[in-house]
Order: sequence, then structure tokens, then C-alpha cells
Amino acid sequence: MQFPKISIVTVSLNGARYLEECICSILEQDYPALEYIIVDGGSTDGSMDIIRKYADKISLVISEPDKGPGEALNKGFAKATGDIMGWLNTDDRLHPKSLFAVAEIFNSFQNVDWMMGFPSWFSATGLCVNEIYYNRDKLYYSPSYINDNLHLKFARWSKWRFAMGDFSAIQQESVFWRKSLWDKTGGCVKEGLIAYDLELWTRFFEHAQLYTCNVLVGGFRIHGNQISFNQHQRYTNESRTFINTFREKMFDHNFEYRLRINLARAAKPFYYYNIPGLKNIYPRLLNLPPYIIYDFMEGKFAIAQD
Amino acid sequence: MAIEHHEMGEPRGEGVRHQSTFFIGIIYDGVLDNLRKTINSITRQNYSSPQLDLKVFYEEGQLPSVKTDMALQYIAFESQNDFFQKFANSIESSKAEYCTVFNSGDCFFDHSIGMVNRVFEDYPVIDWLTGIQTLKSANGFNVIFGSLATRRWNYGIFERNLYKNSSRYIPPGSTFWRKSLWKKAGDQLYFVSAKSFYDDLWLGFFKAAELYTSNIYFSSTWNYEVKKMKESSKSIQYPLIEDGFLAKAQEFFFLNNIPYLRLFYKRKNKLVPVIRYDHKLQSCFLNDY
Repeated sequence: MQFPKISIVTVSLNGARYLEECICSILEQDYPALEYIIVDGGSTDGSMDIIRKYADKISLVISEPDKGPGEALNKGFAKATGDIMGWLNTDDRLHPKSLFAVAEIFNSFQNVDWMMGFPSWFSATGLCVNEIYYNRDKLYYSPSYINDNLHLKFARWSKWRFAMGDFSAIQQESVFWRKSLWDKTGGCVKEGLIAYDLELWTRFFEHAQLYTCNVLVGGFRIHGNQISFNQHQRYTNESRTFINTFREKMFDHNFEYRLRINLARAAKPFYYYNIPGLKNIYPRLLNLPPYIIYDFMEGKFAIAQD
Repeated sequence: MAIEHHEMGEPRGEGVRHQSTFFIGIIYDGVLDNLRKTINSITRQNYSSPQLDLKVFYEEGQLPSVKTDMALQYIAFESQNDFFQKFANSIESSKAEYCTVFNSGDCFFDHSIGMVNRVFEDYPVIDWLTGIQTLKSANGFNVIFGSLATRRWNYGIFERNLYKNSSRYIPPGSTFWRKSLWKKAGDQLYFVSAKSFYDDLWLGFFKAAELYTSNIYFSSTWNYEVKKMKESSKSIQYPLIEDGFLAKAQEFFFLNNIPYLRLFYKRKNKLVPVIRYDHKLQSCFLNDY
């Protein structure tokens, strides 16, 4: 197997509590063509001591003040030379050997420019959970999502589905892309935002389909102090703005567009509940891409159609 | 789709709770590297070694290389000859309160033993439980399959699935039981053959207690297990049975999570609640879903 160079950037600012787990989840993979870059914005909580501990395995450490995670990410990606790129925040983790899956997918399918692993979540203590069930009294997502989200079909997008606002779980920790797509879409994340991941996806969707696979790649740690929790309203407002802008840019709001979206909304339950004869209406109306599955009998990835 | 913001307290962590002793039986496949991976996943659990009672069951002739490689003092080794009796004796003589068994090459997810300990402590009603399991590829990455609904069982569902030759199964390594259940099920445990060892074990347990399912990833199964399962299902000749139309429809509604209609299957089979993880309180709760 050929190993494409994978560049991962971690942006750090006083995230010592989970930083070591984050770093180890990347380095313990022993991926032979890894370029790991950490950008620290001047941590004072011992983060740099942790980073120094792994200095011999980290490709580059940038330690200087920055204006926020967007600017720090851009600094890191500007130095990245990998064919495949992604980032991992200090409180999140990759799953064991997931970089090998990422490499194999990009090697096997030249038409895949960006991909997402199957979403998963970590508890504050590092337990891996397959549902976002934040609190027994408050549901994060609708019950139908929560109770069956191991089905791969919930984590599939096209630009149509994305434009409908069905974007909640494009899990950044599980997303990787080719450098060619990154360069084509501006080669930076937008600074000064907190929903900068979502803004980046809007640009990616303009140029390429997002493919999802049935492999655990990364996981989001739920500990209550994330920006997306603490500044949730701001995150939601920014997201809505980007989605609206994207929708206006990509689609004429003509009769055909409205008809297609409304039919898709009506057909969504048939898809979610796997109703024979009707389940394929929704993916066809929204041009959902096929998903990528690992075939154990063949020992390689394959494209699965509906 | 409301997302609420909550303040969270400091994580209590599984480590600060009482750590009960676990018996973990590992069936060695003769590949040292696989056993190393399994042991490594156990030592990563942050679970104190005196609270772990590990026993590796090896085939004749494989002991020397394994034993010299495994320096951990709390691992015991025993030959697979007369396996059922030795397995039973090991559990009975162990001081462990909770037990599990799996194949070498399979790995625990981080912190899973601590969480199982906590669930058993918090819910005396639970005698055995199972969690989400992944399949491990040849390169070692985790492949997901199935939904929570396909992991909910009772005696009837389990037995019907055996007779239907279904691919749904209860994963060893993700399934834990109290030692008291072993005693309770004692008279019900009949081990027919090595190939149906897990099926026989689960059937005996089902006769004594309900199985609870959780939404936590507990372990990953090495891919050879898939091939072994296929061979095993061919070699064990259960008479095939066919469900009627109504039973098939009810199962379809349940497995596809169709609101209201899914309840026919749930009520017919008297399924117990599922164990869900609460990120805010960092503990599990029973959800009557």
C-alpha cells in the first residue's frame, strides 16, 4: 500500500487537560507519512510542556500569539505539505489506525476529494459513545436521529441536502480532504468566526461531493466547555448565515428548486425508515452520493449504492 | 432540534469509584501479536492490576513463547484441553465480581471496563449487559455495523436468530456478567461444542436474566472473527425456521425504528430498557425506549 502524506494541524490555547490524549491519538497510529503541526497561541497552562514531550514526533510547532483559532489554523496549513489534510482540536481524538483508512480511501477512489468517517462522540473521561445523548432531560437531536444513528444514511450529504440546512453532524474531527481541493477553494479558513468549519464546508460543496464511510475516524469530546457550547447562539447564527448565502449562490429559487426540496422533505421518512419502494426517492431528489463501505471479504473499500 | 447549554461539573472519572474485580478470559489463537494487542487494550484501561484477573487459554504447545513474552504478573495461563471445565473452574475460583471472555486480537475501547463497573454498581437489577462493538480491519481501523435496535435481545429473539441463521450476534468482549449470574445460571449452562461456546453461554444466561444493551462502544472484534463466525454458522446445524408475515413486519418496524409501529415488537418481546450515557452527569441511565 502507498501512504499519501497526511498533514494534521492542531490548534492549542490552554487546552492542556485533553491535549496529551489528542496528540497520542494521532502519534500512536504510527502512520508512516504523517506531518503533524501544532500551533500554540501562547498557552500558560502547561500545554507547551506536553508538546515538548512529543517534540521528536511532531513535524512543526509554532508558538506565538494569534487572533483566534482561524488564524492559527491558517498558519499551520500554510506550512503543511501533505496530499491529504485535516485538523484536530485539542479536546478531540482520532480512533486507532484511522489514518490508514483515510489513506486507503483516497488511494482507492480518485474522485473522492473530501470524506468523512462515521461520527462518534467521546465523554469527558474518554469513553466512546455512539449517540449524542447529552442529558437525560434534554435531547440534542430529534429522537429518530438519536435512536438509530448507527445507520450510515443519516450521515450523507450533497450540496442539496446541505442547502436544506441538514448540516448538523458533518463531524469536523472525521473530515479529511485533498490538498488540491483546499487550494481550489481558497486555501484558508475564514478568520474571526467560530463556525469556520461550516463556512469551509460551503466552499468545499461548491466543488466536490462529500463521501462518508463506515469507519470510525475521529470523535468529538463533549465536556461542556467547547466554543460551540459556550457560544452556541453565535455558532447557530453564523451557521444560518453561511447556509443561506450558500443556498442563494448555488441555486436559483425557481419552481423546480422549491418543488424538489419540498418533495424531498416529504420523502425523508421513507428514506429514514427504509420503506421498500419509496426509500430511494429522497437520495435521488437530493443527489446524495454513494457511501463508502469496508468490505471484509475483499479486504478493501467499496462504493455502495442505495 | 433544540440544543441547550448546560454547565458541567468536574468529571468525576471512573477511577475515583470503587473498582470491583473483573475476570477476563482470553482465548488465545496462537498469534502472539494479537494477544499483545488485546493485553495492551486492557492495560490502557486505567484499571488497577489487582482488580483484573486475566486468564489466557492456550492450545497445547503454544505456552512457552506466550508466557515469556507476557511479563505481566497478574496473567495466568491454562491449556484449552477440557476447556469448558477449566473455564468454569476459573470463574468459580476467581474473586472477581464481574466477568467477560473474548478472543485474542479483540480489543477494549478505552475506559470501557470502568464504565461497566459503574453500571453494575449503579443498577443492581442488571445481571449482564452488552454494548456496541466494531469490527477491526486487517489494518486495525474500526468498522461500524448495525444499529442499537439490532443489539436488543431476549431469550426468544436470540434463539430465533440462531435458528434463522441470522448474522446478528451478541459480541463476546462487549458482553459482561456478574459472577452471581454464573451461579444462578449454573444448571442452565450446557456447552455443546467449542464452536457454539458463546451461543451456549448466552442461552444459559438468558434463562436466568434479561440482557441489557448500552450505547457505549466496549470492544472491537478482530476481523478473523467474522470468518470464524461464518464457518461456525455453517458447521452448526440448527433447523431453519421461517417467521410469519406479521412477525416479519413487526421486526421490520422495530429494526427500522418506525415510530409507534416499532412498539408492537418491543411489547411483544417485553424488551428491557436500554442503557444510555448522559454526558452532563457523566453516568449511565436506563431509558425505556
